[in-house]
Amino acid sequence: MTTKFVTPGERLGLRCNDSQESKIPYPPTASHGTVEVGDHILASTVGTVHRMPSTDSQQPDIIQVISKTRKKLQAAVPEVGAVVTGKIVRVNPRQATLMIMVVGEQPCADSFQGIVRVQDVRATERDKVSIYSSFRPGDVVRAEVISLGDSRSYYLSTAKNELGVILATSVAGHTMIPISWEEMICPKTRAIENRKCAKPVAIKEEINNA
Amino acid sequence: MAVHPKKFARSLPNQELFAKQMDQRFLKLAESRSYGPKQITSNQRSFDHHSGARLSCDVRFAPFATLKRTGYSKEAPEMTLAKDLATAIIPSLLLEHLPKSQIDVFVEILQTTSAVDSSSNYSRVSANVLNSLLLAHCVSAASLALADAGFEMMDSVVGCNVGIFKNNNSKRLFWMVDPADDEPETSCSGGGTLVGTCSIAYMPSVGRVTGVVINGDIGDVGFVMECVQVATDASAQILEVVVKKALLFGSDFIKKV
Repeated sequence: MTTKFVTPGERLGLRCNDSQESKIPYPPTASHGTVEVGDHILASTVGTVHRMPSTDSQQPDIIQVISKTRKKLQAAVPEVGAVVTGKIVRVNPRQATLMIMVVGEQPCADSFQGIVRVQDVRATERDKVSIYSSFRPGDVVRAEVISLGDSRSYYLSTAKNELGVILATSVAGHTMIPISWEEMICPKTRAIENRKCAKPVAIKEEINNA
Repeated sequence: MAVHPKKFARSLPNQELFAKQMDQRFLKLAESRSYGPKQITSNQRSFDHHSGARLSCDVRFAPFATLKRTGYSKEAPEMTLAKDLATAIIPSLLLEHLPKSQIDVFVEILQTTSAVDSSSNYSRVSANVLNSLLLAHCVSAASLALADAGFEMMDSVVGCNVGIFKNNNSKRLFWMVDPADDEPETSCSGGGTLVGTCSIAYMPSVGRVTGVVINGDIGDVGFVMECVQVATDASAQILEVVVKKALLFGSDFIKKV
């Protein structure tokens, strides 16, 4: 792997297309931090070039530009299919409003507004869902973006086991512990509150991988 | 200010500040910051939000920037500069990767010798012509700030000015790259007076001109084409000498000296 510092617009190589296939045996494939302009691959961000030789000789090399620090990364923007994390700010019988603060593992520059509609809270028995027994303002929720939505908000869904409330405080102000996928208990007052809890799947997977 | 641009670039904490060499003696300073991507605010929701991000540019003169102290209110030249700046920067950005969001660019001009107010005209050249000289610096600074903030772009946009001078005797037009706005007259090429300017915004690697602003007495089409050609060549050099170095020093790729 070779590294070289580049700025936006610097040429990294020829682009892989059908007409040139005969001339160049393995043209590289453009990846993150690059842009294809005409027949050329140009850098689109400031960083170092990483050209990864492919393990399979039939596959082209992958060329990408990586910024040295996380600070220099462009802040995240929610896109369809992304898992986002945010805080519930408002609830009403039809929907819960979420301020999206993190997309994947990358924080946003500014929070984006998203809504979880009542039919998108869970996958089963959608007609029996009540927003008030699923979310409360202040809950930290993990959700998936299902649509870019209207001009105001992104449409989100928590209809998966690993999606839903990941952190919530009780009426007494203590951080609650999930006891089932739809109930949480306050460790101090022993009061049980209803939430659409997220299955802590990421942590479990990490342990399995280690 | 007699600071060599290279030294200045090194002394900066980051590249939000950008100095552009005017000539060997004078520096024009502009501060440029970029924010976002963020959600489009309520008053701009009529914008087609699925087609990509929206770029909003704001150019301001600092009250102490001009020869005569000015107020904080927004003047016409600032609005013109902001509009031209947006036009010049947009083609370079890959805005389609950022749906439903907005990027804000703020340029604050810290030092200039041109007059914002057209009534306080101190030379034979109109204030409009002198203000248009600022566009090139705003473009370079804004593009640099966007690159430093990590926004994806096709190429850095570099601005360059060409001054159009008229020979006092033969009345023939000739050009000079990077005219100083406090030098409306030159002794080069047998002496001449600044009669017009040509400012361009250019993407050197892609080879695309993203903006041309022509002011004053510009002669015929052939002469304008010559000016644009000269300015594009100069922009390519500015990219190598100033912009790339500034980005290199601004990044953590090498330790700051």
